[in-house]
Amino acid sequence: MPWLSLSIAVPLLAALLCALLPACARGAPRLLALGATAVSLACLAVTWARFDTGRGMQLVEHAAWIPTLGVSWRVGVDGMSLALASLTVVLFAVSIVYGVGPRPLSRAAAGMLLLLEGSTLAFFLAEDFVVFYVAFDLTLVAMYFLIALWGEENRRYAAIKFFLYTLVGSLPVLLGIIALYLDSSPHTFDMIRLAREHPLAGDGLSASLVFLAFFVGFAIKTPLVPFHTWLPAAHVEAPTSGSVLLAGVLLKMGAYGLIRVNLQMLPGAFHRYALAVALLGLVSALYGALLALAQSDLKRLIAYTSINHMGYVVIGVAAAAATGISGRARNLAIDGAVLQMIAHGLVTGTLFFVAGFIKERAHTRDLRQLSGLLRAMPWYGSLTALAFFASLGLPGLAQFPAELEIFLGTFDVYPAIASVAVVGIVLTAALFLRALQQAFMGELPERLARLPDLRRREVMAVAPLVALFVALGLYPRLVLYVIDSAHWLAGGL
Amino acid sequence: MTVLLWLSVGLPGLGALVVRLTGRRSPSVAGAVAVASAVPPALLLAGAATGSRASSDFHWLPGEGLGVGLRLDPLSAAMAATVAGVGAVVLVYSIGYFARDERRASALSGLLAFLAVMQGLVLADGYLALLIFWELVGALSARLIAYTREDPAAPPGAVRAFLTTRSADVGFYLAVLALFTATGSLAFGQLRPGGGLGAIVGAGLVLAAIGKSAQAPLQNWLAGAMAGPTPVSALLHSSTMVAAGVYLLVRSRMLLAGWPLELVGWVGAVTAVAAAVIALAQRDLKRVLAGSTASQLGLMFVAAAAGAPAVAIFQLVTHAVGKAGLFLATGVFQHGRDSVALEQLRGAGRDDRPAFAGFVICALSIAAVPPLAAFWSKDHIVAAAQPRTAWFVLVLLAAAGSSAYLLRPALILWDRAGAGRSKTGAGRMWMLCGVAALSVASLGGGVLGGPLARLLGARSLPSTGESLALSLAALVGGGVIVLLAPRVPAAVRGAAEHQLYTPALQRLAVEVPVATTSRLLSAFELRGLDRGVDAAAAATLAAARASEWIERRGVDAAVDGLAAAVGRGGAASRRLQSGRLYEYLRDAVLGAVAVAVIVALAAL
Repeated sequence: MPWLSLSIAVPLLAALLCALLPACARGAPRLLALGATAVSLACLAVTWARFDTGRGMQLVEHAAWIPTLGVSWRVGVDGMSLALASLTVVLFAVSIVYGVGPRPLSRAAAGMLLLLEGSTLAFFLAEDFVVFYVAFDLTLVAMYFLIALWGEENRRYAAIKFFLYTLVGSLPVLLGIIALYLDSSPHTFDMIRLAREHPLAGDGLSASLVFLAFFVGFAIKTPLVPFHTWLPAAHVEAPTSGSVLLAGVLLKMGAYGLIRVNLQMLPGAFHRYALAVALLGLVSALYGALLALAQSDLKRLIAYTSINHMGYVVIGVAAAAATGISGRARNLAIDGAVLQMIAHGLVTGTLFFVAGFIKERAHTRDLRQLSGLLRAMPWYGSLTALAFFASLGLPGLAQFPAELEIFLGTFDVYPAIASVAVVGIVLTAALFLRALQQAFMGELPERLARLPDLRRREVMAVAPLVALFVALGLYPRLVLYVIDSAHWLAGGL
Repeated sequence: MTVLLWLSVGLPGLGALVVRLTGRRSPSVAGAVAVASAVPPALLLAGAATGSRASSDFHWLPGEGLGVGLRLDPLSAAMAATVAGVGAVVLVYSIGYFARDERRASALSGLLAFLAVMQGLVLADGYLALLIFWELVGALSARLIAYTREDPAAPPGAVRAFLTTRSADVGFYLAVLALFTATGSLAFGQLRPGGGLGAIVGAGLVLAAIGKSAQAPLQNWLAGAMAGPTPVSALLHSSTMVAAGVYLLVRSRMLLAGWPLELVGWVGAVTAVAAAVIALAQRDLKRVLAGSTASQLGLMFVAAAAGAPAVAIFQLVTHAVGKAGLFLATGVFQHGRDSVALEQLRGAGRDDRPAFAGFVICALSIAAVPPLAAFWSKDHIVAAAQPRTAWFVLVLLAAAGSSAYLLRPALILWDRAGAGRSKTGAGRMWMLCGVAALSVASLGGGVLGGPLARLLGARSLPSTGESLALSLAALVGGGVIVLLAPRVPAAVRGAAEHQLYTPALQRLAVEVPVATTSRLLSAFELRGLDRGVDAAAAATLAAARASEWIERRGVDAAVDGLAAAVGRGGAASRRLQSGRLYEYLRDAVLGAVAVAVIVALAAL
């Protein structure tokens, strides 16, 4: 069975099916979306079972598509793809459970979620550049509608900004893809071959330009400072599940591209620019944390911490690029970067749910207007505290091993950058504790006293995420044994 | 033995979960769990004494040298037994302390969770495991300080405690990174690598120890931590968690040989005196005890630096017992008067004589009155510091200070003028049991010195005739200080009361710059960067409008379509969808054309 293709096709087909559902079947879109996601999850579970941890890219499914151009449907998994695809399905499952827009989930919302799910999975599993690019752009379209249709007051501005900004980012990626295609002989869009053969291995100008084209595209998506300004706007205006998916899954596409394309296909050029990229990552990590510290809107604060955490990922990737072909530091940095993507997806997903829950109850996310919430909503308060501590990198929760591996890998190459990056853990601690103190401690004002605690649907949405980030914190090998960059980073099969 | 190692951590950990779920019966369950949790560490201690060693590795991160494990050796066994003993007493006491508190299950389970991670800290094998538990005790400390959420002082105190110690923990992280990079291993007992990496390891570990053990100039978080419940202060912020810094130094003495230990000695000696001065000026009994704790930990730093690690651990044990006892007695007075301000406690000792007896015994021990427990350990410290004149003088001053800052509250507690105002509430018997247990330990704990030294492999504990005489002289000096205290200028007393202005310094040096940078960057983001992006968008739009005038027909429809589609927003999803997709396809086509042109140009 083509399990991977199936995991992509089922959500996409279900999205089409949503349009055909009769308007009177009110619960049907949600059930359909959940069913399709369950099928995807099952397909990936089969893939986990069949996955051979001792090898690189594997379980490749291939079908000719446009043979004259060498374009084919080609999907496959290595540790990074499998881990990120699994994260994707988990986050979509909880987002569908929580819903988007009016309840029950409308046909349009279910359709958009499924389109986004299918295209995101296609992106992470694609091993053909055309599929990769089409999927990359399809996610923009679906996310645009999720923000523009079901977002908050200023949604149209944010949606347009998000769309144009990331579209501008995707054009250089297209240029880069074509350049790689033209430089491979025979011409190919096969990402597996490109990663093995490094067509632009020379240190000429063209390699640098192609590197730059991909880098700008993925830096906007990640996002790296100074390409990040679409992110706070999009996050603040997106509906809760939209933010969860945007931070949890879509940001990962940028970092994934940096590893899959820039690092694997253009290692020589990346090696030359590694220091600059690492410095950009460092600036992002500190800038994101400092800006988060200045926010009083909980959602905006979380959005900026994403810039901080993704900055660490980029530092790790750059450190790996600087170390050369192999070595312990390189694998630590990449293992850590991929684990950080997973951990950040789970933790920040939870955080955006937390922000959404309070907005729904108190009609504000302004920390200055909230106080004593732990008394009114003990379960909600404990959930928030746990997610905050996870996000500030407390051991026992998923981001600690990830950040530790990144720091360990980076310190070997760039001790100064790693040392300054470590200071970021104090900034994140400061901003999260300040938020806890402001909103959750202190006297409980009368107007907040009757807020209901977590509801069943909310618990169902966050419980899987919490369980996973706790499990990964206690035993990071659960995914590290699959991620295992030593077996795929050099492009091996 | 490995089973006992994991049980030492797991039993209180599981207990914490169970207590959280038991509700009304939680106090007795918590007490039972705590007492039961003391059994595996006691067996470990017995094992270590008979020469058992063990370690158990849990493959946590892939790769060499990144395992997380527990180990049994004399040092870890001695620490684990101390933690378990004090922990069991404090939990039994807590049954009484929290008797009237409806949220006691949360407090008790928090204390048990702390016991679990504290055992993990002292039993950790290697710096990775140590770092993990080190950070976890910090987080639990913040949670327990902030227990009384409505108290205006508690949450800020918790935040300050966590942020100060975590700032110092940056040193721990850096030390781990540098050590791993230099040697590829995070095992204990390594020699310090040379060069810059070795310097980072040394300085980083010392910084981490300074933060955790509330040494100058970071000592003031401990005063803020006193806003937490008194059993929390007794267990975390006097006897066990803050002593982790001393444990780290003793554990790392091979890595710290040379200048790092020299630094440790100076920090400890200066803190011992400065914190004693601070303790003398406080108006709140718990803050007096907090200053005293920082001062006593400073003495342990000196001992560790002076090449007498066994003495440092001996002092750690006697201090843990005595200081926890002082806090437990304070908690009894606190329940009687609903306050820990010294003025409010005037005469409280007369109202509750058993508690006061315990307070006095523990105070005499901490003030180093022979033959009580801490007298012996402090005498060894004086003797160990003797070769270093400066440290020696500072240690003697601190010893004099300790009898002064404990004599002062004892006199206030025994003041006839304020007697007769205390009330007796529920749970007093449980609390007195705790006080009594630690008083007995403070009375007789001195006999532990010899066996402890043998366990830790020290040939003998240093002591000289002079040191004995000087220790006693320092005790008398304390009385003189109390008599002279009213004559000290108000400015000096004010400075001491305000932690010698270290909080203000920290604010100026760290908090204000960070907050200002954060605000400035935020303004830059909103008015500079983001406006620039919007301006670029607006310019593009303007260019589009301009071209619209020129190229009317083709572009016209698209722009109108866009405006209309956006205008309708959420309602007309179907029409909007088709409109946007059309636009999108157009962009893709334009992009492809652009690409083709560029490629063609490049090919030419």
